Amino acid sequence: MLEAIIRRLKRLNCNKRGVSNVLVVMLSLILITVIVANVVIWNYQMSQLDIERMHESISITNVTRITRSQWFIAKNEFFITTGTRIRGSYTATTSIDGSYETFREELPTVHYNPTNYVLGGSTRLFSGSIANLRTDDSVYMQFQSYPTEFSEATEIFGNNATGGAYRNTENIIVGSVFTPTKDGEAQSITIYVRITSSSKNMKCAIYLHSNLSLVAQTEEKLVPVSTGWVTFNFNAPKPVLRANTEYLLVAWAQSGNGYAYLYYTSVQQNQGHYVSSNYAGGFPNPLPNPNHENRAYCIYCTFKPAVEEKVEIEFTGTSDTNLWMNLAWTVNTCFTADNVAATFQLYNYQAGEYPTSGDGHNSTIIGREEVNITQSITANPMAFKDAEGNWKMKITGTKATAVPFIFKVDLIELKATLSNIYRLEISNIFTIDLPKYPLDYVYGVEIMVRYNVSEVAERWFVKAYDWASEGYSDTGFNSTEGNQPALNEWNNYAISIGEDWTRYIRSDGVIQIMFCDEGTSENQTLLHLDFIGVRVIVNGIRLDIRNSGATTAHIVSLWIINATHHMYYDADLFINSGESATYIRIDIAPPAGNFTVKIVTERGNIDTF
Amino acid sequence: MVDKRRLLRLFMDKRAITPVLSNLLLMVVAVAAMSIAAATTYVITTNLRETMGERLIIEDVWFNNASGTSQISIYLRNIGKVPIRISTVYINHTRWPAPTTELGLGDHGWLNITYNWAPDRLIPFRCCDNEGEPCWRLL
Repeated sequence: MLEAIIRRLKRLNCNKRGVSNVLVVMLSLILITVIVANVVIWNYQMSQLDIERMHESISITNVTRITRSQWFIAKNEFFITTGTRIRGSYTATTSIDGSYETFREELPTVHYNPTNYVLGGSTRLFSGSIANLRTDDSVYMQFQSYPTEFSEATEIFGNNATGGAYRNTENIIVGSVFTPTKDGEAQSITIYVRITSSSKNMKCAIYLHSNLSLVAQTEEKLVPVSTGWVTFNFNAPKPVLRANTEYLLVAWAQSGNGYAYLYYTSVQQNQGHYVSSNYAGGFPNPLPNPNHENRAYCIYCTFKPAVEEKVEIEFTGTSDTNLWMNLAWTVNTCFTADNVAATFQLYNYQAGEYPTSGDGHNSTIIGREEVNITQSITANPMAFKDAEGNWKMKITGTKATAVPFIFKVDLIELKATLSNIYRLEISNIFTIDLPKYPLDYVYGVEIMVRYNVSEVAERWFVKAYDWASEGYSDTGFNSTEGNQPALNEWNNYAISIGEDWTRYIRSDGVIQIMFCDEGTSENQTLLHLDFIGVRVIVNGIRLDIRNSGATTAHIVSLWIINATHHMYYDADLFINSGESATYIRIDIAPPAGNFTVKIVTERGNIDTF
Repeated sequence: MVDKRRLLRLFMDKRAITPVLSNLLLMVVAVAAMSIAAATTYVITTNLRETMGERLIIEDVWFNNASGTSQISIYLRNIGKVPIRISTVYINHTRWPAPTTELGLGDHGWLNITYNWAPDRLIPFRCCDNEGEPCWRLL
């Protein structure tokens, strides 16, 4: 066999026309293959297309007009302007069923917080701001006390040891940093000096180390030639020093014959300060950038320790000019010290003073635990604001101690009751599905409330937020007279907005609805809310389509045909095999009277209804 | 030794060039002939393929005189695999003037024919490609 093949190949190789024969045969085979492939494969594809088309079976099972969208319901809890939620949640108001949310009418109140403050005495703001007083959230506004009374006994802070080394103080301000542990009133500064050759004028001063500002300076003295302790007194008013604050005690001498040496003892890094400055009537303020050295100069301050600390702040605020039926004020506060005598006073504008007892006054011993100080004023609450609605409250805290304390205040609030009519106002937002219901095809809005009340002395109203005028309104409503409920029955209250409805829908589809009472009853009413929802009025068409074929159908066009018009609409709907689908088109307004609906699939099948 | 002898014989042979030229010429003729055959095949099969790939449906037929003139409006959709060009319309087996309509793949559109139609009357209707073939019997 192999020999035969080899023999034929040799013969082909020897044949002069062998190559040409091979080429012709090969090209012929290629041509035949191309023809067969083109015809057969293409024919197969088209046959496949025809088969798929035959297998496709689409049918319209029902066609209805759409005049309303589905209900758009609350997605968040109701905002209560006036009233109280008793039980339930907003989820109970999303469908008409047995579940409901209950609200209760309350007397209408307004809340006010301070907008400013004034520090009394030497009270200092420690941290926080007036904005921290709006809510009881443990974020405080804090104030530091200041000493108000001082002991007759004196104490010292500084270096009262006699050193061996010294520095000249002529035209040089020299001193060291020291920290008192108590609040107190500085009386004098004493220095250990050596004056040589001739007597010299000298004086001392206290600087605040943190910013080198001058606190006070002493009297000037002519110090004779000697070595020893010399005391310089402060003139009145004498400076008040704060505990745990770094002070720089300095001495300064006039230039003359000889020297004015100030001794120093221990070595502590950068405790010593000196700066060259020509002796003058007053110390420079602030102290020019001083040099540092590791020295504790022999200088100390004598002071009278505090025996009483105090904080004093006056908070001010604004309110309204409405008639107040009742006024309740609340302060949530504590101190960083025990047993602080706190006084709260709400200014009485009619009396022209802060009350010392009765309404607008409270005195309480408060410690480190946070407490709520409250008071309700029913008699003449209008006395506690002026004609413009301004009010103010003074808070003081006093304690017999030499150690300063912090006053922490978390909430200051005035709650005024405006009326003896019980009110309920609740609101919520509803979002219309704009991709499904574009505003261009919306003709109006409908609102429905299903509710039950415990008392029927007044009517109930629905209002919508007007985004243009930024207020609730019922302009354009088909009824603005409210709904008179029946007692202990579920009442359906429906409102239609056919005119100017666009003012109530924001560009993102949000519509804000308020449900409120009439505001005429002095009886407290319970409201059970079963359902509240919003829907839009449209004019569209709904097709129920079934795909009973073996393949997925793609509907590409929709026809609405009546005696006078054949209207074509593009469509784009896929329906899986064996499934049904609802196709809603609110952009297609069905004609009046009878009409035919036709759908066409991408494969070319048509069904009519 | 043998190769040198063969090479020498080739150079000394007076007919050495003739077989080479004849073989080359034969190859060129064969390739040219097959190229022509291939081109012809391509043209034929393309035409065949286009004919097989045409699918046209009528979505809607509207006998109307909306514009004040009686006309038949036919909404066509190309669901085939090749573009379709309609240039000739036959109504009642008579060629009728109609605008040339070209429908690409998946395209659709109205074909408006001015014709004085009458209700309850059967109208044989065909529309054809440029040369009258292929034709689609529409009504």
